[in-house]
Amino acid sequence: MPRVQRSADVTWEGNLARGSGELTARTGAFQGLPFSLAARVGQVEGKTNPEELLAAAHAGCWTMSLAGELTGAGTPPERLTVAATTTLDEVEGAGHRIVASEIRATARVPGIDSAAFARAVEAADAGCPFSALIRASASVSVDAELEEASA
Amino acid sequence: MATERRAEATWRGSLMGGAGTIERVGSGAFGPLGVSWPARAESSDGKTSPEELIAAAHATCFAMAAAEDAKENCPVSHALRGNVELSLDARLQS
Repeated sequence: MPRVQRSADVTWEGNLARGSGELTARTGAFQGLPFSLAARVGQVEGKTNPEELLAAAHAGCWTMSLAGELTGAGTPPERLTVAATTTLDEVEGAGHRIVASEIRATARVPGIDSAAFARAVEAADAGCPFSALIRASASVSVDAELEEASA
Repeated sequence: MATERRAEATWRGSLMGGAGTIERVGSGAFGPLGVSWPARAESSDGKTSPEELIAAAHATCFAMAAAEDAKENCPVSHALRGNVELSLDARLQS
């Protein structure tokens, strides 16, 4: 993979407790998304937050990593569904930290057996830069299931 | 108190020829957003990518930390610091 750079722009107005911000992706994929502390630690109220964005990054990376492994094994996926759940928690003496990211994947992969699928899942997690990144300071767990081939 | 946040992505087909979607996030703030390998690794073509999403996570996290007391206060900075070099360039607008 070549070196790639991606950027996002945010603005924030006001103090932490009552202020609010807006997020725009430099690609234009999303623009002017509101975020706030209240939505981060309480009810989301349709507003995004850093931990959800990290979950989206992890889920997106993980699907591509597994698609790459399955493609390399000669069994490209018909469909992968990957949910990532990140946990933000208070760590004694350290303030708030991202402590975990859980991956739950289901895969429809024609022509693969369960042993080959398990190998692909392991390699996908090992090769996903976001799993490595998160694992440096938090736990990453993976639960992947092969769906029955459709009749 | 622990806070859980969730996102879901799907993918169809091979890595190079297939395509994916960031289907939804727990807040409903965005999605579905298309993703692909060429858009991630080469020209974005208006598509987001994991790298852009973590840039967004870091920027939103940092903005909130800076609104109060930036030092060691952004959990995404902490997570990144285990792996990558972080740089900071902050200017006061007159």
